[in-house]
Order: sequence, then C-alpha cells, then structure tokens
Amino acid sequence: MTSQRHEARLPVARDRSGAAKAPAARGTHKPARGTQALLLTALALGGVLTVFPLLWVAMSSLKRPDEILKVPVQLFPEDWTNFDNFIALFAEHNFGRYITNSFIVSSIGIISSLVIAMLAAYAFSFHKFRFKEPMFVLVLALFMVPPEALVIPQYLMLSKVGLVNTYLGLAFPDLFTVLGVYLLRQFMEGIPYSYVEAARVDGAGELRILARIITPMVAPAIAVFVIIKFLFTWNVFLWPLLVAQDESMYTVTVGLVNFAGSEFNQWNLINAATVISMIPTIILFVTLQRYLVKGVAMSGIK
Amino acid sequence: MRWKIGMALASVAAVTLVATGCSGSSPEANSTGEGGSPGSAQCTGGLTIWNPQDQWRATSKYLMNDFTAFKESHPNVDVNVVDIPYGQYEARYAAGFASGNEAPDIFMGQVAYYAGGLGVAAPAPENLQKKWTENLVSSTAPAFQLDGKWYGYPVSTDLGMQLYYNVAQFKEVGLDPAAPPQTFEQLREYADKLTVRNGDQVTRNGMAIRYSGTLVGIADKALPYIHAFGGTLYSLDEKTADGYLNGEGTVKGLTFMQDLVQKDRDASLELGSPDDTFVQGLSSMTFREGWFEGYLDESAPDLEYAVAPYPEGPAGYPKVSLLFNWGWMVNADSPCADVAWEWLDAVSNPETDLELAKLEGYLPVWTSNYEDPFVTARKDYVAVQKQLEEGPGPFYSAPLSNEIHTRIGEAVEAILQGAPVQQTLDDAVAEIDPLLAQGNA
Amino acid sequence: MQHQRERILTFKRRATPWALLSPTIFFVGILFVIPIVYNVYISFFDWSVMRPSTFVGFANYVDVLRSSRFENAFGNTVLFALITVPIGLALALALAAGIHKLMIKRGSALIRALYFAPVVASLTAVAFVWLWIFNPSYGLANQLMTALGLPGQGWLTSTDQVIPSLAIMQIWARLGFNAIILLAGLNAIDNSYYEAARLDGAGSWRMFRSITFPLLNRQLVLVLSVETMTALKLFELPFAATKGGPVNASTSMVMEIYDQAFRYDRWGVSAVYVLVLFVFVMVVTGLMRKVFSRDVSEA
Repeated sequence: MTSQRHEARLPVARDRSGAAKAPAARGTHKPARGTQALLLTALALGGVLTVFPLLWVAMSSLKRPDEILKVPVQLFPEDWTNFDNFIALFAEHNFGRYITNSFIVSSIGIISSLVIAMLAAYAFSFHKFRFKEPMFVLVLALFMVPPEALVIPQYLMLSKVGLVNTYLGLAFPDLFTVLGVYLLRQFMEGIPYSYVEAARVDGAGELRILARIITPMVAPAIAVFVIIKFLFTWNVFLWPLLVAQDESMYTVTVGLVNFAGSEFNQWNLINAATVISMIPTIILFVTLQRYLVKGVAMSGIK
Repeated sequence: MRWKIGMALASVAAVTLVATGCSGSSPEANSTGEGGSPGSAQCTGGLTIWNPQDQWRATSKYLMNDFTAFKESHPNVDVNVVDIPYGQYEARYAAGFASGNEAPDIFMGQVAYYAGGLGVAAPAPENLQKKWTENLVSSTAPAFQLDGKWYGYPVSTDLGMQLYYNVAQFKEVGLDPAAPPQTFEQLREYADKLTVRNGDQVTRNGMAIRYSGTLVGIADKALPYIHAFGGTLYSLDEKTADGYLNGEGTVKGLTFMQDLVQKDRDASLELGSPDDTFVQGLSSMTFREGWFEGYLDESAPDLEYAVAPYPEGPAGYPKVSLLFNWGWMVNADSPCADVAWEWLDAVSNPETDLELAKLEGYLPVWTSNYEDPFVTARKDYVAVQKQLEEGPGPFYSAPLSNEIHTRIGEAVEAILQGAPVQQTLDDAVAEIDPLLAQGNA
Repeated sequence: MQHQRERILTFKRRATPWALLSPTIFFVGILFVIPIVYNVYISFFDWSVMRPSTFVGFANYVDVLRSSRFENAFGNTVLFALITVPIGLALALALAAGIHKLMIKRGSALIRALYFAPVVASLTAVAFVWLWIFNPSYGLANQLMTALGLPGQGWLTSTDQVIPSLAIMQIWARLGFNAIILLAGLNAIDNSYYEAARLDGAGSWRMFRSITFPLLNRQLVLVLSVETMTALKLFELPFAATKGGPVNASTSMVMEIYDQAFRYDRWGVSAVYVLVLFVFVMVVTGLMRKVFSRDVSEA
C-alpha cells in the first residue's frame, strides 16, 4: 500500500565541530535503581490486576453451584480439590471429544493457511506482476468483513459439496488467513533481494528457494503466526455451531456456549470449561513466547 | 518444468472450483423457498431430531438410549437426538432449513413461528390429531395448534408461572408464610415490607422483576401483570394491536410493574436476574415456572421457600399464556416424515410422558398423569391446580411472533427503565401492526 | 533456440506469481467475493431462506438507512470504536514502553505472560467473567468503587454506561496482544539513536516524539488498523453479555446483521447492513492508513 511520504529526521550524534560521531555502544546509559524497582512493582501490580478476572474464573471452577451464587461473594473455593465440575465436563458432557475436535480443526487451519500464506507472501515480496498492490488490498479487504455476515453463503456452498459436519468443513473459513499473508509479506520484505537473486541465477526453482532459503529466515514470523492463528481458530464462535451437525463434532466453543442456557447459566460448568479451553493456548504461548517478541519485531522493521 | 504444469493445473482447478461454487450457491437454487432440494428425497433409515432446550438435555439422552418402545418396533431406524446450544439455535435452524439436506426430521421449536410463520412444519396425521385432542392437557393445547390442527407435540405442560417466595424472609419481616399475597395490591404491600434499601439503592428485591436478557423473555415475564389488569398483547384474530397492547388494561398492568421499580422501589434493575437473586436471597419473591423447583434444590439446597398461585388482579386471575411453547414438530420436507410421525406416535403415551416429566422435573402433558403422586406431591401443586382450573389465557401465535414479541419486549424493557407507558406502547403498536398485517398476508 | 529459451523463462517469470497466488485467489473468491456478491444480490429482495422471496428493488436500502434501529446500531458501534481504539492503543503503548524500559530481565517473561493471559480467553468467556465483575450489587467493580469512596455504578445495566463497560472488557481482552506487537517494535529500535539524542541534550519527551514515534510507525499503524476493524466488528461481547440491551443500547451493527437474518428471516435487510458496514470499515481503514503512515529515513 502506498503511503504518504513524510520524512522524519533522526538525530545523529555530532561532536563539537559538527562532524558525525560514531554511534555509542549499546547500553552505556544506566537507569536509576530506584526507578527500576518502582517500574517493576507497577508492572507486576498491573499484571496481577489484569490476570485477576481469570484467576477468579479458575477458582470458581472449583466451586459448587450454590457456592458460586452465594452472596457476599466468596473469593476462594471451599474445597480446593473439588474437581467435580471438571469431571462432569468430561464424563457427562463429552468435553474430551470437543477438545480433540478443536485441536484437529485448528491444526488443519494452521497448516493450510500457513502454506498458502507462504506462497502468497513469497509472490508479493519477490515478484513483480501487474495488479500486485490491488490484489493485496483485495486480500486485506477480507479481514474487514465480520464473519457473521458471510456465514450463510459459505455454509450453503459447503452444504452443496457435502462437507457439512466434517473436519474440513469446520476448518473451512480458516483454511486461509489474511493475517498470515500480511505478516509473512512484511517479514519477507526484510530479506535482502540478493539472496533470492543469487539462487535464481544458480538455477534454483521457485519452490526450492521458498523452502530452502526463505522459510528458515522467516521462522520467527511463522511462530508468531502459529500462535495467533491457533488463537483465532480455537476461539471461533459462530461457524462451528452451524457446521457441526451432531455433538461428536462440536468444538470447545460450542460446548462452552451450551452451558449458557435459555433461562439460566450453569456457572460452575462455564467456569470449568473456560479454564480448560484456555490451557492449550497458554501452553502454546509459553513455549513460543520468545519467538513472539523477536518475530513480531522483525516483521515490522523494514 | 513439472512443477510449472502442476501450478497451471492448480490455477485451472481453482477457477473451475470457483465456477462450480458460483452456480451451486446461485440464489436461483433457493428461490423456490421450501427447504428441500429435489432429488434428496431418500429416507436413509435414520431420524435426526434437534433439541435446543438446554434445560432438557436429559430428555435427549433418554429418547436416544432408553426409549425402547420405538427401537423394538423399528429396529432399522437409527434415532439420533442432537443437542443444539440454545443461544444460537435460530441460526442453526435457519442454516439447516436453508440447506435442505442438513435439515432435521424432527425438531423442537415454537409452533407459531416454525409452523405458522415459516411453514416448515407439517400438521399431524389424523390418528395423532385425535389422540392428542383426547388426551393432552387442554389448557395449553391451542399453543401447539394452528387453526385448530395440531402441529406440534408439547414438551412439558409449561402452565406458566407461579409465585415463589422466601419463607425465612417472610418471617423476618413479620409476614405469615402460610398467607402469601392473594391480590396484586397485596403483592405490592408485601414487596414493600420485604424490600431492603440502603439509602436510595435497593439491596434486596421485595419482588424480582425480569428486566434484561432475551427480549421475548422479558415480554413473557410481563404477561401476568398485563393479564391481571385485563390487558392483552393483540387481538385474538391477530389483526391489530391497537387498543390491545396500548389499551387500558395493558397500560395499567405495565404501570404497576413500572411503579414497583421506579416509584415504590421494591424491585431493582441492577441486582441481577430473578433466578440468580432468588437463589442468593437477594429477592424475596419472584414469578417462575414449575421447573424452578428442581433448580432451587440443586443451587440453593438450604433455601427455605414456598410456592403459591399468582395473586389476582383487578381483572381476575391472570390466566396462563405462554410466549414460549416448545413442541416437537416434523419437518414438512423431510423424506422420512412418515417414520417421524411414527416416532411421535410412539412417544406420545402416558408412561413415557411421566418418565420424561420425572426426569426433568416439569409437568406432564397427559391429563391422566395429573393424578399421579409425582404431580400431586409437588410443592407447587396448589398453584398447578389453580392454573388448570382457571384454564388457558389468550394465545399469541401470530406468524411473525419472533419479531413481534421482541418489539413488545423492547417496549416493556423501556418502560421498566422509566419510559412513559402510554407513549412507548403507542410507538410499539405502530411497529407491530404492519408485522401482524404481514403475517396475515 | 536461445530466443525460445528466453521466452519460456519470461513466461515462467510472469506466470509464477500467479501460480503462487492461485490458492489465495481461490479462497478469497470462495470465502469473500462470492458471499459479498450473494449479499449484494439478495439485498434487492425481500429474501427468506425458507419461503419464496420477492424482488423489492431499493426498498431495503431506503428502509434500513432511514430506520432508527440502523441509527442506533451504527451509533453504538462507532462510539464503541471511538472509545476502545485510542485508549487501547495508548495503554498498550504505555505498557510496552514500561516493559521495554525494564532492565531487570528476570520477571520480564512472567509479566508478559500475565498481560497476555486475557488474550487467550474466548470473548464469550470474557463476557461471562465481566458480567460477574460488573454486577452492580455484589460485583467486584462496585465493591472497589465503594472501597474508594465512590458511588456504585450501573455498568452493563445502565444505558449510558453499557458501551463504555463493553469497551473496558475489549481493551482488557486485547491489551497484551497489542502491547507485545509494540514491544517488539520498541526492541528493534537501535539504541544508538537514543544515545545520540541524549548527547545532544534531548529530553525524554523529545526523544519519544522524534525517535520512538516515527520508528514505531509501522507497528502503530498495524495495531491501529487491526483494533479499529475489530472494534467495528463488535458482536460476541454484547451477544454474550447483554444481548444488545438495555433497551438496545449495546446493539451493534453485526448484532443487527445476525438478528435480521437469523431471528427474523429478513436476509435482504441483513445484507444491506453487511454492505454498509463493509464499505464503512474499508473507508475508515483506508483513511487511517493514508493519514498515519509515514516513511522514515535518516537525516
């Protein structure tokens, strides 16, 4: 996308005579200890406050139905080992199946959209062709439409080809993700063209260049993408509800919504289900955390 | 070289798929309207049944696993009862019926909308018409019929609400738990005594009022007040709401509700839902249906409560009208419609009815079951008796009931928040009359 | 012979990008173009998926654009975005700056995890949690208010406060996500710029304005765009928490789309909402990118 060009002037160190000095080594400026401690405390406090509602959910998942509704509000469960709600989820409500389904659907979505996005980002980054930018805008436009608006035509199409109530059907809108193309393109454009050119001159095929050269260099972006994409598909709301025709194909979100009923909500089960639904994503985040910061950094810089 | 051909083929395939996708979803294919796509009319030896009522999940399990009568007579029919999450069931139904082949054979829903408004349900065959007319509770029968013909088999006789009250709190303020309020005026007096206020804020509802959530639910919960004062929602021939929704009785009834909140400050719009607050002891009285008993036993085992019939208003006892009448209907376009009706025939018998009622804790639909100790021993039996005695109230089954009842709910919500009663109702009538006309067209 | 080889190579070079893009094109077509075209088509009908439909021309457009429901939904959605985006962005920036400044590495990962946690929960779960917190009678929010000596608020039950309350929920749910993006951007700014500026005698604010802000531009615009688009697509939070109430004060555009289509079987009307929203989001996002994007180069 072309943007207006505003030139910003960055300061360059100059000595007395006006000649440019070499940039100083990194980290020579030491901040005050006191400020650091204050900063840490403030951030930690803010962090606890932020995560508090979720702690509340976790603690409530260990409460009985009458405990949850008791007033004045009880913070801690009476019995910290009361796993009845979780047991009920798996025994009575088939939650294990829902989790499996969510995993399968998310995996299909991640793999499919990653491959497609890599191909597309590669095309946008290292090839010249007509309509390149308009195509890109068209792709981005997909992100602007709320999924609820497109659900019925997509569903009807799916029904016509008989993919309703299948994993592929459930994963259908997630087989392609705009964010993947955007993110990977940003990242790939940071790779010097010379690498690709050299490989081309050497006679390597395009797919080979993509697989052997580009992919390792964009690994952090891929990590970022996997986390974000997993989050998207894991928590998606309306689509699985329509496509899963019987309970054996329900995903975690459908299962969760099931407990919010017509007349009243089953808070104890909702809380337990929420806790469970958050665990895989948390694990994924913790494992890939370091890539997240690094990856996002390089995707935006050049 | 090879990959290049591969890529070219991929592009061609892509284009082709897009093209077929195009023709497949072309609106022409759906413009015939009815859910069925011709050519899919083969009954494949299975029945798909959709149950969206989250309160009746045990029913699903029972019908699938323990309902042996049908299994024995139809060993080749695989019955699959699917639980649909309640919150988005309309979306699921719309999608299912739109696609034709994903539509269920039997489904639970509001008869007025699915049979009347959308026309996707079939009328019951003659033998069932007779059987049901003779044996099912007559008070609620009209809710499952269109023009006198049965379209849906009732799930529970939801006879409307009763008065639940907190016995401990009654004693606390000096009221006799054996003498619940008999008139709406008394209801107001009792509520006044029971309410606990902290300055201007109500911290305990004398009477709990449903003020938020699904709009049709709000309308439903306001009906007792409206009927008690002689009002109705619209004319029985469903031609107009003018003079009914904004007529004297309705205005009086809704003003009473509004006063409870705004003037008398006996009910708060902030404490939470009536169900939650009653369980928490934050509401002394509430109107709720019979199933509430089961809920209370689980969520508030220590709560001391009692159940009584509605108080009477100036226009008499507010007869029962339900905006939610859940019935089993058969998809008119289902290739397995015949088998579906046979299933319904098998289900409609007093034994199964009693089984299900006991399982879920609601009232059975067969009149003969009302002699059974399960019914007579219920805490709300007195209230149930009264409702049966009084008979049914007006039935609101306009075809576009979804939208109409939503608009009514909006009006009630606004009134509870303090909007001028007459004005709000007049505005609502202006929006509803065209909808009624459309439904009659 | 040479000529032919060159021609094949040129063809290969020209066709390659399109071949690489073919799955993308396929999916954009199926997932987006076709549904949009479908929506445009049915917007001219009194469309029902279960009954016969009639052609009504522009009647749907006229009805919708003149209706108070549209005004309400549009207004609510825009208001929500106007609150969520600037505040969310500012808070994310502040948080990112704070973590960036933190030299103590040990707690850093844990702190990042704490702030990221809300991102992990589904919006429905977020709605349920905050329904409890915002309960005017016994919820933690009002308990906190009274502890601070302030009067209790209506939050989600008040027509005036419901949108700001939903905004709080949204900001909370997305803060960590945006902060990490901005943090990554901050980490990537070469420290030498700051050194040089410090030697020149620049103060913190000046450094922020002349160095940080411009160099962070890409990430800022990214966060800004994504947050705006997400805010305008508001649906799940009010759907789960308030059902659009009280008195429709939290009904958003997408909720109207859902209701009109699935509850009232009026797909033509719903399609009009879809198209209006889509055009609006496109225009707004395009404008934002034009206005805020800057190309940064060194002096």
